[in-house]
Amino acid sequence: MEYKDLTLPLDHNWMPDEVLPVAAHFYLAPKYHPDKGIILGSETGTCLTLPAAFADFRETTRLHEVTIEKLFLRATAILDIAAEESQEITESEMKRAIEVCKVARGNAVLLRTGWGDRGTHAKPGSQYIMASPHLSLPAAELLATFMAESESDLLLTDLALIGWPDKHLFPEWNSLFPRPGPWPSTEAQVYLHLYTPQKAKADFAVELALARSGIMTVKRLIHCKDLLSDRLRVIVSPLHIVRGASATCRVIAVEGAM
Amino acid sequence: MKLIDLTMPVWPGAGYGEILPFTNTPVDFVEYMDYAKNGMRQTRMKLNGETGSPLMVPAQHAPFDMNPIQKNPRFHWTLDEIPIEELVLHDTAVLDISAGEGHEINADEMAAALKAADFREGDHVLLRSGWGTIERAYEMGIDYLRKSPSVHYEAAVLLADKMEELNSHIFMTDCAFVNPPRVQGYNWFLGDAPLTPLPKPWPSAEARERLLDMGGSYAYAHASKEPSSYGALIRKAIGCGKCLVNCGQITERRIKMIILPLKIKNGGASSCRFVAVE
Repeated sequence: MEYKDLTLPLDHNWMPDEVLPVAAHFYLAPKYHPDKGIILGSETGTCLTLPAAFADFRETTRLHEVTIEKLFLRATAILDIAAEESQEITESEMKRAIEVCKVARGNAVLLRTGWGDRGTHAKPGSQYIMASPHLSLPAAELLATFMAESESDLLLTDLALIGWPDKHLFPEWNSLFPRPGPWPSTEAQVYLHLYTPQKAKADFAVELALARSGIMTVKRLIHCKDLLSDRLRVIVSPLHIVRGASATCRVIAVEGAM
Repeated sequence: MKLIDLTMPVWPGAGYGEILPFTNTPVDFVEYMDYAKNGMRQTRMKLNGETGSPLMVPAQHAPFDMNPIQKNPRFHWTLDEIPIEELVLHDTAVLDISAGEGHEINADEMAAALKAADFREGDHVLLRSGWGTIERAYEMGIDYLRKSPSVHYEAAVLLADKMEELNSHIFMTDCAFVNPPRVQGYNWFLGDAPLTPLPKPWPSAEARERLLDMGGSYAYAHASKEPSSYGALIRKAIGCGKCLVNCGQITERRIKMIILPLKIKNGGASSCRFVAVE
């Protein structure tokens, strides 16, 4: 067996995902500081998001209720769609990828675009998030249907963002220059104060399409390029948060016969 | 294949975050996006290196202090440097010492358990006392730690020596504390002059005063005159895990363990997932 760590490191000096106001600043306060400890957002770095993260599905399973077999050593199929910087993955591209994807019933699906292998997560600036490839809504709906037919409820991907929040979040936040810090900056607090459920539904339509099918998503994987689909299992190890709806996690690929 | 989750959950107000002055500070969540106002939920979490079921390396206060909490440790890796083979599906021996409320596992009990266990070269070791259950932690609050069984120093030295002899790298237990609570919480919640009512942890005024009393540094934060059992073990280990739960569900003497802390760059300790595979 061979193990590969697909997890974005949590770096207290700088995190590549702290671009938007919906992200929380990750930091380790020095030991004599009043905040001594580990401060992070529920979606800091590589993270697992349950459908329950959205109001429409808040009655569904929470983190501490997810059965261990759904997350640990789960057989996984790779869905390959090589994507360029800022590319929106279309329905036809998704359809072609699905046609050649061999997914057994109940397998998790790992959507590999190559974004997590380009090293942008280790470079300064906002490119990792702002230039991430992402899914179009029709592509996400097709993927959700495919996964439902395959009885799959776990999607992993090396995308930094799964959908593209360009209805409100990007144009409004990016109009601020220089770009403010993530939550809890004053600007982020004010912005989120005015960020309504209607805006969230428009911005997160792709994520909601997946959540509607009961799909748990893991985003911001790295180092997926050498994974082989044959006999692949993944370990998704989130913080064990009581009643949580999303959490930072560690993701390990296990290749070969067990 | 049977998977058993041995991880203590994380929730605001958990007892493990309320009982000590420094090493484990309170769990606190802020919902900065919520269902009613934003249609979705995002949480800012304040955790600590010893939240839930933690994994701690010798340089526990890394990255800000790379000094190990015990001098001359056998290993020097930070969390992100631990080879993945040590963390995923690693062979582990279960060491059974049934211990109830307040019991300090002594050297004779440790020797008998080591003799009975199927502890092989290179194994990690899981000391099962039977104390750790989620239900008990939910019900007892800080008493879950105050009344936890623990490992007496001489027993810890015996185990640490055996671990070195067998090239064993990681120690885990379902005790809430490795040190006896009277040692760990000396003159905080137990000891000659415990504080009543129990103060809040750092950054409370009382915790700051305790720091002053200790000479201004908690790098070697051990106020008791008795030696540290935990210290004996961490000197010989890549890392130690404690506060595991549900170990009673393990039916085999040998298991494979998945041990996954957060991947904190240069990190010294973090909440961790512990899963047994039979």
